[in-house]
Order: sequence, then structure tokens, then C-alpha cells
Amino acid sequence: MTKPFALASLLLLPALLGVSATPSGAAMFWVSWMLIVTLHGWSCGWVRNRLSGHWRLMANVLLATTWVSCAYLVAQALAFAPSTGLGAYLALIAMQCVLLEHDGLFAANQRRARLQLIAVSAGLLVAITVARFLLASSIAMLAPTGFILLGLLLAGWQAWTQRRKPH
Amino acid sequence: MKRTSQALIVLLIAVGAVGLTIGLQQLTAKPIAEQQRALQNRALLDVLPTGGYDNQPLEHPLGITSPMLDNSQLLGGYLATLAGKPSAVVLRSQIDGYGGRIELLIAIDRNAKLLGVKTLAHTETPSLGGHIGESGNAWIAAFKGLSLENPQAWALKRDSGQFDQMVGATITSRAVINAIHDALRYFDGHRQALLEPTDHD
Repeated sequence: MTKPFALASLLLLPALLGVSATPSGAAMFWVSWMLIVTLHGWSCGWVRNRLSGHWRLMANVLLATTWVSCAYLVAQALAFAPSTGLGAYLALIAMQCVLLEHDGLFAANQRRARLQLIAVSAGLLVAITVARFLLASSIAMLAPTGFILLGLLLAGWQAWTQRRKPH
Repeated sequence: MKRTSQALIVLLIAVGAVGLTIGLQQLTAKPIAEQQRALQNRALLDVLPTGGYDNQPLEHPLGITSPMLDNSQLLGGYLATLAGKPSAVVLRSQIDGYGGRIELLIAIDRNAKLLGVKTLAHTETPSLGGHIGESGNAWIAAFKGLSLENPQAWALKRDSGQFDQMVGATITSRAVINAIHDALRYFDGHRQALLEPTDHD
């Protein structure tokens, strides 16, 4: 992931750890997240050339919160049980959307970074969810286990990339 | 000039955002409420054996006016019927545990035998008394089939009774046993009124 978006991307972390306890919750979260980010990017594209400065920021915040509220309502209406725990994480997504737009992720020339963010989030979510599912004990359901698993995954990734680098 | 047009755009976005959210909220309010109710029903009714009732017990609340029992308080109750005949009573009970209030759902069949006990809410220590909130917890499941006369002494072994306690959770175990015992005694004392409520629908 390119450095400028690291901070905003980190906002996904609590959600990744929180929703990966059940596959249905994880799937629900990822679909909502994709939908919100896509809608936000699209709507901000419309706003970007028409507004500047703090007007743009205001529109950015308004749009992000609207998409998040709407997505939460729709998620609840479609599948109430898996979406009950999503609320807090969706609020973080609103924050993330504002930051991502502010950092320029939705600009036309950032297609690569966008795809990278989507791929990394999906990859991490699937990896953590599957790992917890396979462990399938009550310990695996607790958030700290998600954290430890994430650490292991990142360490594995580090080791892999280090090895591939020429010395 | 530019400023006013920008303000106007933001205002339009705000109005659109509010409109969209309120509209969607109106649209989804009903399905959300329905699913919420269905979920609650399922959670409440899984203390009853499937096939043991054919009515909607939650729509048949018993006229219990939150009586204080020896150790606990009854918050309400529901009547389950099978083929028009009362088959079981589900009592909602509340008692002080170790970390706070414990809310239990206690199902008793018409012969005064326990059909099941389920924890609705609790704030007990996770991994100790908190086990009562886990579905399929063996300690809670062991109450099934017991009644006021079996066992004779409704208390923990350390209180000269016949129940094992959950490891590291004496107070929680004692509270749950007391609440169930209270509910069984209440049922015993009010069996007639509970099984044959006067308000026919």
C-alpha cells in the first residue's frame, strides 16, 4: 500500500479484527465497506471540481456519513442478525472515507492504490476469518486472538518479502 | 459569488443527504423491526422443546405483576399451549449475581418439571461465571428435568445442597440455583392461576 494512505487504511484494522469472528459478519462488513467506499469515491468525484477548501471538506464529511448511515440501514433490513455488530465499525469507515478523499485516493490517477487497498483489505479479512474459523475454539472468537493472528500474518508477509528481495 | 454558489451546493448535498437517510429509514423501519422481533422470539423460545407448543407464547403473557420472591424477582411470564391445552410456562426471572443482575428464562412444564433454563442477560466475569451466557453450557443444561422435589436440597454442595458449582463462580452458581428454585416454588404455589389464565382470547 502506498504510504500516504497508510493512516486511513489503518482505520480498517479494528473492523478487521472485530468482524472476522464469523464468516457471515465478515462478508457483510466487506460488502458494506466496498459499497460505501465506491459510492463515496463516485460522489466525491462529482463534488471535487465544484467545491474547494473547507466547503469541499464539509461535503466530504456529509457524503461519507450519509453513505454509511444508508448502508447500515440497508444491511440491517437485509440481514439483521449479522449486521447488529457492524455499527461501530461503520462509523470508523465514515472517518476512513473522509481521510481517503482528503488524501486524494479517489483522484483519477490513483487507480492502482485503490485496487491495492481493496485487495489488501479483502485478503486480510479472508485470511483472518479463515484462520479463526479453522481454530474454531472459543478462544478464537475473542478479539485478542484476531490481533495475534494479524501479527502472525504480517510477520509472515514481512519474512516473505524480505526473502524475495535480492541481498 | 463563487462562495455563495459553493455554499448552495453544500446545502443541496445536506438536504439530499438528510432526505435520503430519512426516506431509507422509513422504508427499512418495518423489516428491521420484524427481524428484530423474530430474533428475540427465537432467542426466548429455544428453552421450549420444538413440538412442545403450537401457539405464540410471547403473545400470551401471564398476568404476573413482578412479584419479589425469596431471592429473586419475576419480571413476567408466558404460557405455551399445545392443541389448546397449556403445556408449559416460561418465567422471566432476575437475580443479583456476582457482577450485577442476571436475567434468566426458566421454562417449566405442566408437571412442574424444568424444561430448560436460559440466560438472557448477565454481567458475570467472562470465563468464570460468564459461562452461564454461553449457549449449550453444560452446567445450565443440567437443570433440565429437575423439579422441586428432585433434588431435595436446592443448594450448592458447599451449602449442604446437591449441586456442583461452576469452577470459580460460587456466587453466580448460587444465584442461578436460587432463582430457579424460586421460580419452581412460585409455579408450585400458583399452578392453577398460571396454567389456566382467566383472560380468554
